[in-house]
Amino acid sequence: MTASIGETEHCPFDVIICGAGHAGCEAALASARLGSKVLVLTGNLDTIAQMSCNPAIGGQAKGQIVREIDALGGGMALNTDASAIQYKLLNTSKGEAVQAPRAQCDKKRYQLRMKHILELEENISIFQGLVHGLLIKKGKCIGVKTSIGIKFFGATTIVTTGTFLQALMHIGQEKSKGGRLGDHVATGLSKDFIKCGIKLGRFKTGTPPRLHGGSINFSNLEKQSGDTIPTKFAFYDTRPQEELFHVEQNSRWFHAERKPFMPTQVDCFVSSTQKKTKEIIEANIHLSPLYKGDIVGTGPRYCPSIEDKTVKFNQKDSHKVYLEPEGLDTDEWYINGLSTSLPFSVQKEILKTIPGLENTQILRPAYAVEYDYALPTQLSFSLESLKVENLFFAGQINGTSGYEEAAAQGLVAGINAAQKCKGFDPVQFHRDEGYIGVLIDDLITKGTNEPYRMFTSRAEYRLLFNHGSSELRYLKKLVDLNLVSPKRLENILLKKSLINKWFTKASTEKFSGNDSYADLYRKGRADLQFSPEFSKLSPEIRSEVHYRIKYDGYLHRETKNITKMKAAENIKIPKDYDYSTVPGLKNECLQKLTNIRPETLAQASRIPGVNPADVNVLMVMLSR
Amino acid sequence: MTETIVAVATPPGESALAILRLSGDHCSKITLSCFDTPSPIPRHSYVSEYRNSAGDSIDQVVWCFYPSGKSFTGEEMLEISCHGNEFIIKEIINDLLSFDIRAAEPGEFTKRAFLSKKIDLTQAEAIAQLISAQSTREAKLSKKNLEGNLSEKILIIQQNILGIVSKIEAFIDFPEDDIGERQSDILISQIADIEFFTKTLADAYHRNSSLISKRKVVLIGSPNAGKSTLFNCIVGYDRSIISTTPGTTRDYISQEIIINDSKIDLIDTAGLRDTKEKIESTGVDNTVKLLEKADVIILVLDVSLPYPSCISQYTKNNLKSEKLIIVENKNDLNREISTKNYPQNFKTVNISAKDNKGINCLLDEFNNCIMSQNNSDNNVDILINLRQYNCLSNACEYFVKARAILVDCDDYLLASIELNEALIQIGEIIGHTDNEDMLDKLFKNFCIGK
Ligand SMILES: Nc1nc2c(ncn2[C@@H]2O[C@H](COP(=O)(O)OP(=O)(O)OP(=O)(O)O)[C@@H](O)[C@H]2O)c(=O)[nH]1
Ligand SMILES: [Mg+2]
Repeated sequence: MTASIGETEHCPFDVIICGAGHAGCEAALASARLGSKVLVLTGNLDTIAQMSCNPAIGGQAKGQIVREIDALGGGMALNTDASAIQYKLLNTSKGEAVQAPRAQCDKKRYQLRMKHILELEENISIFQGLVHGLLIKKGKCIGVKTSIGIKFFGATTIVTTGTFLQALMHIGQEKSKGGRLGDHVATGLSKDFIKCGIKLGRFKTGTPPRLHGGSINFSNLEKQSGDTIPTKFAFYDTRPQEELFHVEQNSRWFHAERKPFMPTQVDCFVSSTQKKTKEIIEANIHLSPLYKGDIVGTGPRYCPSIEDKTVKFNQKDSHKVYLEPEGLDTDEWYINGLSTSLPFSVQKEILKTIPGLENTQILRPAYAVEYDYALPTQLSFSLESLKVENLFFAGQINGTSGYEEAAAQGLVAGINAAQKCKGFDPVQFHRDEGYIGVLIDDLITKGTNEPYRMFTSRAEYRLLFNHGSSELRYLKKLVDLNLVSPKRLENILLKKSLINKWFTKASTEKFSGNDSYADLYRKGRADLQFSPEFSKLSPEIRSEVHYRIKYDGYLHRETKNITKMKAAENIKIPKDYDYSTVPGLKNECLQKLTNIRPETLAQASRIPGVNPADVNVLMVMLSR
Repeated sequence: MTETIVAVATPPGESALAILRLSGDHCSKITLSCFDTPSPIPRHSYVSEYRNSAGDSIDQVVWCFYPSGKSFTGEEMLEISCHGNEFIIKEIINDLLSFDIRAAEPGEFTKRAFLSKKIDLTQAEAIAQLISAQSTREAKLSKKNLEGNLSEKILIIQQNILGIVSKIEAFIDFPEDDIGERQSDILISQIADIEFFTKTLADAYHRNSSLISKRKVVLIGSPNAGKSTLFNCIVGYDRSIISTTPGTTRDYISQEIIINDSKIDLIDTAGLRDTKEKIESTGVDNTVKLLEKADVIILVLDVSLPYPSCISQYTKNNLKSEKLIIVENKNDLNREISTKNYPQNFKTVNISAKDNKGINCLLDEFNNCIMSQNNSDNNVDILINLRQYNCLSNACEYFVKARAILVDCDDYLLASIELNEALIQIGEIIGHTDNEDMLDKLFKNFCIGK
């Protein structure tokens, strides 16, 4: 009997993925697309691509990331479009550059459809098994071991275990082990990481209560409806017909009629906490594990619990609370803004004070969860560990938060694991390409003191990162790697040349008197018809041309700044460079450089604690 | 390993003492071999014979050792005070160079101090300025910068911009959060405030320039009034040619002198008159140009002649009372001149340049004049060099753009881009800020998070 793939060291999977959350799914899809044989191990098959927190994808900076994932052939965008139940384009009144798509999703549908995508992918095997340890040989990772002792061998392994490492949930004084209510905890892995010299930290996050819609009085609440014309996440203009909703087209059970081009949109509602709410929280603050000091992990500042908001912004008597439906096949509601770790009894009292929720029935209580993460500064830009070869990390385990940030890392790790198996060079995502580049560079260079979330302000060149240009920005990668089908690539190249052609035409040819069309457009004449031929182009192309016209001067400036930055990016630092030979480096700085091992002078300059003077000395030493 | 460098810290020429400075890893080796002291007490003065490699004593010296981390450059340092004789200095230096030590490049000690982060960029520049200071006042201000005076002000600017940017970013990055209404008018006035502060700081550069460049004192008068004679009196030797022929001095002659702690350029000029002769008339033109740049003008009159009528036509715009001193020369001769044509309200000093009389009186008057100008410089409490000035005024330009954007189209993103450029310019002066600093401010001011 011959052993099947993955059973022995001599016949390993190309990529083993531990965890099937948003990072794990994208990692699996990316590796598989590049031809790798992939094994996905998940502790629970029913929670693949689960939205553990709010039932929404996108939002500021995150929405742009999802579009970048789509540009790189990832699955998140299409899956969101296929399960969206409300669309909203954010920042519509504040200029296109920072507009971001966002969607409420049908949670279960998102999850099941993503599971189905993985099932349909020939190169992916799925198995329910809780990873308990690493198989290490000569300092390299050769596979994993599950909690019931099954061994799987893989040329590379990607860890995407999210918040499950040593996870501890808090509801008031009650503590229970687990990364999500009703789920397991991963205990063995942390020990193995420490054994390999990988440093771990501890973070905290929280989630609000889920309520029964039948017990909510919506009648006096402010309603928030979606946009009448939805802004979708995926790029449909470049996808050939057969790639649109391929799950629906290829599944044994699905039918083409289920193509969700125009979803049923539902409403969200807004209520707010009251003075009375504040009083209850203040009277019970001593019962909060956070304020009692039971929680050691650092929580995100941008996602504070209601007790945190009450304490830190005590002058505010009221905070908004958003009611979001979890799906079309359920009446469960997510109460955004009410994350807390106060005891269950206090949670009930709090809800009674909120208009519309006076008589509500809790389906799941709110809780906080503490978990281990691995310091991301121990990774190279490919997301491979600097400590253990062939071991990759992606997602919340790297100290990030958010489905979108996780998915982006999954994609990067998936691509690089596949590259490594083939013996190809790793693929680097640069800061000037898009938010994914910023995300990766920030993580490996700066690390993070709180769960990391993307903000547009983290990007130096965000004007270049409008969501509509994602495909064009990653074009070089798409040409170099087989991330999208040849047909789609051809369409993207065509799109690019049309945009360039029409932008040049608009800027250089006289349109009226001495003015070009671009001149007039910038003067506020958005009402003018450029030419009949232009009007026939797709809305995606037209809006990109208009975007370039409008921000021309600024885009120019940012492009110039990139060139300047690239100069320092071109000064490479040898992999095993001995920083102790550099005169005048402070100990702290020496430590950081030695640990993080920046690949270029530009990266070194971004490390906190390495200041311009250090960079100057380093530059002098490197040019010797 | 850092190379060890040596330089003479005192100016060349004979003096009672000369100081040699060394910095680098070999300093302790030298205390052992030259002074026979293996582990000297840090920052303690020793008196020893300096013995060269052959064991011969060269001089009796005082020396002091600074361990690394606790010295100016951050490296091991050694200071040796020897007798200020050229040959002794040369012999010691030659001996030191045999220890794998090299002569320092100009400014290298300061550079090392900067590189080991003992001082920041403004401080490094302050040292350079301190060394080349043209007046006690400038020296004092340089010292203040060295103590961090400028850094403090730059930090204020940086913090203020960060505060404004954080307010703008809150609206860009958290469109879904409950963070209140945009208050663009408040932002605009906050930007205007910080712009004013930055501009005032930048303007100090212009006020500094009178302080940093030497004062110009110009002697004018009709030909043959005795300007060159007076010039030579003050300079102390025959620098300018004197003759009985009017129009002797054709081009101006300049000489640096030190009066009242300040370096001054004293300038003798061609006499002022209507002239047809080409060379002389160019000289007159030059004189008029000099008058515009002059800090003090000394109008030399020959009292034995009537008041020269042509003077007023050359000087009408430049004769401001705080700048002008009238010198009545040749008071050894019969007085013909009448004061009724003099410009009003000016100090008058009576001298004889030929007999060297009344010169001290003139110098006193002259001192007063400079002093009163120095007092107006007392408002200048900070020194800005050209590089810093450029950064500050570039930042101001970005402030102007940011305000215009907010007023015209209320586009927060573009305003933020301009303010970030300003932040980079300001950062060039002392070092950059991280985006984390902005986020810290943002989360402190806004209740973010649904
Ligand atoms: N009696 C007398 N003669 C003086 C005095 N000062 C200068 N002279 C004479 O006046 C003549 C002209 O002197 P200069 O110093 O050359 O005059 P100047 O103003 O420089 O003249 P130009 O260079 O021609 O404009 C010389 O012969 C001097 O000796 C003075 O105080 N008393
Ligand atoms: Mg003369």
